[in-house]
Amino acid sequence: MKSVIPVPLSEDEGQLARLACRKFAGMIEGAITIGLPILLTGQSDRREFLGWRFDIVRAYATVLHTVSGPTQGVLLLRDASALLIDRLGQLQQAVQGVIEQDDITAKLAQTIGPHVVSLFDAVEAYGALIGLAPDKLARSRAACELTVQSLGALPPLPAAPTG
Amino acid sequence: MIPPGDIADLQAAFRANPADLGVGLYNPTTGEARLGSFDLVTQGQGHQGLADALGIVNNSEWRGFLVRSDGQFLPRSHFNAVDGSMAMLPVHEAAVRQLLRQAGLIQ
Repeated sequence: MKSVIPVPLSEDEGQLARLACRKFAGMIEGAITIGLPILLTGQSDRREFLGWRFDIVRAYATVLHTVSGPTQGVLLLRDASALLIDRLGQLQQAVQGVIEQDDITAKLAQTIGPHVVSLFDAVEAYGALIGLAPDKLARSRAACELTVQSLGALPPLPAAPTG
Repeated sequence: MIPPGDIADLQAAFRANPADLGVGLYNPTTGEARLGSFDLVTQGQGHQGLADALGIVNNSEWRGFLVRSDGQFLPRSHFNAVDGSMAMLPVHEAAVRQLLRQAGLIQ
């Protein structure tokens, strides 16, 4: 990976950005590693969990888009956070598109996988600009990629008893 | 066994938000299972978040599952990938079901 010179942020802004970026990656990890398997349960409320999580993750993306500092550096940061927000939206749209279809098991892995990869590329690019070591994000990325890869091989879960 | 505090805390989390999820880790070697609210304990991060919250670092010795407030048990986690799939091995699944039944979290 190309080395990037971090934007010289104040101590508070840098700390806020690095904490929010790690939290953002962790929340994506939670949404993907927990939310996608839940989608496969066939429960009528299966969409709600991911909707709830995406709302929260989007809020963290907005925080990343408010980090301030020297103009030229922050313009780079804003480009990076805008890309991150855009890719988050694409991932959410892809998930919603798959949910509406039948046989989502196979489609989840095929459709969602590339969006997960490109979202984490954007998170890592933002992380490089705020001086966040790549290994702080690597575990979340690996967990998401492993989950997406494993989805196609899962047997269906029995539906919960109703009434 | 599941620590009674984990069970009480998860039940309290479910009362506060029935849409929350119980995130669980199971150690087949020791027979211990740990539980935490997805929203309140795992920092929204799921199984790794629970492991971090509990100070668990030997991830390969633990398997993962979920339990919902309506009593549905979901034996799925990327922590199970060491056994070849996100699905829990049947022997582990049976052991965890038994623990969750004893805890009154599933029927």
